[in-house]
Amino acid sequence: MAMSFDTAVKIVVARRKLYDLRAKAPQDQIAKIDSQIQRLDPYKDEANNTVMAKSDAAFKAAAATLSAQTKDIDAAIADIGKLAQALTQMAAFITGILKVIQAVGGLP
Amino acid sequence: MRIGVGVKPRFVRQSAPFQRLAIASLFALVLTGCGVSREQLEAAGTFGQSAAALATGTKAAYAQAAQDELTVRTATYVVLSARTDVDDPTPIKNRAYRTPLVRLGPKDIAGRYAAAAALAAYGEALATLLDSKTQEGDLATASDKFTTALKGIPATTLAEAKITTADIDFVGKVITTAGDLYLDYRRRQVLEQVVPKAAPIVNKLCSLFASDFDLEGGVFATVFTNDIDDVLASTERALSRRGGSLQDRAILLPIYQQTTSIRSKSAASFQSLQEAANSCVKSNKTLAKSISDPTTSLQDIIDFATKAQKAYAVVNSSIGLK
Repeated sequence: MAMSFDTAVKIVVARRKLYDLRAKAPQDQIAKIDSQIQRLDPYKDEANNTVMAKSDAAFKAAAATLSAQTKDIDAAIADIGKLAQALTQMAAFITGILKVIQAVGGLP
Repeated sequence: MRIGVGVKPRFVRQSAPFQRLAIASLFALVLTGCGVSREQLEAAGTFGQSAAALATGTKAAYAQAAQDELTVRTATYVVLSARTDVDDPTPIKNRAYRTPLVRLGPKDIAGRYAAAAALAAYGEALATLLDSKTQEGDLATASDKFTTALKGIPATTLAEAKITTADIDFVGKVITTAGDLYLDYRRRQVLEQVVPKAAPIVNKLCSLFASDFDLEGGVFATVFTNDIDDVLASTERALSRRGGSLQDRAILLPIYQQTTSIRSKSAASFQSLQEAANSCVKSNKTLAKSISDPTTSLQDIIDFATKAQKAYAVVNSSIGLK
């Protein structure tokens, strides 16, 4: 049976507290702390992976929403780019008109 | 063939340069009649660059953690005998060392990688949109083509229409100026539309990163440092039991040194990323507020830029890029 998220969090947090305690404990207490850490050893890998997988879902959901927003900006950048494009087309259009004018011998 | 030549020279004649300038100025007033100031545009561009730097640093830290996990895992199996009183080779024979202690690869924490990529893309898009050079080069080129086309009109025709080369150059300048104003106007418009809409989700992402790298209880930071501390504790136990042997010391002490180094470097990276992510939350709120209230101080955004650059440098330093 898969480990529940709550249990996984408890294991991860308990190990953290034990390591914090170990870092501050006097030498003669280390073995007692280690024995408690070792009791959780068989479950730690599953606990780690359960916590990481569950929390990753929140990142995934947020990423999808922001990516949609970014498309709006990309579209705006492309839209702004159309101004220069329009001017270029206008210049080509005017050149075309001038060619026609020159072909009929200039303006009256 | 008549193409309204009678109208065009009349316009040119009646539009003295100061009158045309007045029209351009009026156009400018209309276009700039938007609430977002030039300072806000620049601040939003800085925010975009900083968000992209934070996201890049975050992604690099996750990738480095996956590399470090391999180092820590190998060390775990070297000091395996110290974990229990019995030196049982079964896990080694079963190739247990090939299985990650915690899965941190891009496919395993795809959400975190996607979040970093999304924040980077958003930041880069904002920075590109607000970069004053974006499209202005294109606009200048288009304006040049336009004036070149006008200058292509035969000299006799220009003379008949009383259009001088100076008039054509002036038209080119007006087009470029009006175009620049238009670009600024559109940038402001986009900023007003996008930033308030994106603010809640950017806030969520930056908060998630700040929480993930929190050394005092963040998911990622806790899981990762737990495993490092596990190896350090195992190595200490092994040293206390077998430290009398030179051969064991020669194996165990470098493992202790390397694991301690990974711990301190990752702690420095996580801390600076957490600070930058918290600053991202704050400056994102400031940016969104400044869109509706131009009097808002933009200091938070400058602070974010400093912290994001620092985090980027610390992460790069820890992975040996600088």
